[in-house]
Amino acid sequence: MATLLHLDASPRTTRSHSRRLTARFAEHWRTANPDGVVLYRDLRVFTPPHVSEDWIAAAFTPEGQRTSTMRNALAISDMLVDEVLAADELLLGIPMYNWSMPSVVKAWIDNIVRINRTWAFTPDHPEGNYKPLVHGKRVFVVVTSGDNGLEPGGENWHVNHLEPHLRTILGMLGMKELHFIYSGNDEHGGERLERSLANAERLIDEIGRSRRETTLVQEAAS
Amino acid sequence: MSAVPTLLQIEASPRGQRSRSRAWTSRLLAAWREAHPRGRVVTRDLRITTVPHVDEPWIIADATPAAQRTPGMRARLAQSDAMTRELLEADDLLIGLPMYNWGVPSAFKAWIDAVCREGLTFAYTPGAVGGLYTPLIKARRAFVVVACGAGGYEPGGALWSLNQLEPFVRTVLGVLGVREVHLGYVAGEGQSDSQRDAMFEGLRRAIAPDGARQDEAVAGAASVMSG
Repeated sequence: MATLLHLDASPRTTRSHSRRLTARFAEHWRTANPDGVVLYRDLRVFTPPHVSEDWIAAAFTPEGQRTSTMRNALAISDMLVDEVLAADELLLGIPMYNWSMPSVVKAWIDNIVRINRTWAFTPDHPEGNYKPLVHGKRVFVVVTSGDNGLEPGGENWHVNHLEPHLRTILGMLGMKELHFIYSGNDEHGGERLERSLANAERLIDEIGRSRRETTLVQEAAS
Repeated sequence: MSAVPTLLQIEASPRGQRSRSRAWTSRLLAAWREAHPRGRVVTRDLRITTVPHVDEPWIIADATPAAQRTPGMRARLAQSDAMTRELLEADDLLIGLPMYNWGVPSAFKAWIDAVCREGLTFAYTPGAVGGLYTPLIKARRAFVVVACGAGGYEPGGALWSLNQLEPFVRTVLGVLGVREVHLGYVAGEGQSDSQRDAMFEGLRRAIAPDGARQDEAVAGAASVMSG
């Protein structure tokens, strides 16, 4: 059964643009996958803790040797990893904070990068020390920002430290198919903001439409 | 620099004794103290202070003019206010930072998100010619110790293309007005002793050029020594 992990990171509720955009995307996804399962992870309601010394010690202890304290230290991380592994597609709604991901998203990342669960250490391997353990996922990322021009080719792309970081780290885990949808101008507001949002909505609708067509083709072929 | 030079030391490693970044920052701190015998050191240890992620009450409180904030808003901003004050009072920054998943640890990002305060640490002027952001802090130098698993993350190194930490740190400190950002990498492996020593020496020289005492009382002696 098709599974979508829908994650929202904005601390805002009704005033959040990223939430509105991911909801629109998820709506399309549900239409295309009427039997699909949507796992919803709201980082406003549930904030992953920063990685601690106990967490590090536990993660690097082989599973069979962990004490119950160690297992507790990893319980949240295990849950977040399970969600990623269960999903076929990931939908991440992320507001840009200070040219990068908000600390709550970095905390989520630090919790899902887990040795022997999402990556393996393979020293002296010809393809490198890190072996990805997450396969076959598509990732859609909605990025909202105060300023504009942060998308690739935009005038502020050079200070976008969110997309390169996310591509690097999710790529290391094996998630190489990432699609970014940008909406800027929150700081400027007015017509510029409206235009940015409308552009992002159009892009989401296009992705939704092409997905539905793909599904129909698959059904017709089967 | 102000009459009493102030160093703000930020420690981001969750490790105590086992931390490589802390080992270096404590040696660099000693070098800074030697150069500034009358200097003041303020330490913000993110292993002790847990900085919560920015939430909606924080955003609303931050966006409300200070005079109009409710007691609840002031309480939500209290920690951010205290850390912002420390940043505003600093002349130099010394930062110990482990690299986590090719970026900064979330605990450090939480500190950044808490001290990037519009109107306090930077001003934002939409449509301004020559830049939208005006720095409001006085620190112009930062010394950053980066502890990483492998060698080669430094500019020009074999792993530089994966390094998401340094470009981000340079951007965000740059916006705050820190023009001189010195980074040194201490790796767990894949770094020779001489490479490691050179990295440390680079930071030490930047923080305290060859035994120079930078306080006014010994400025003359320092120029003789370095000349």
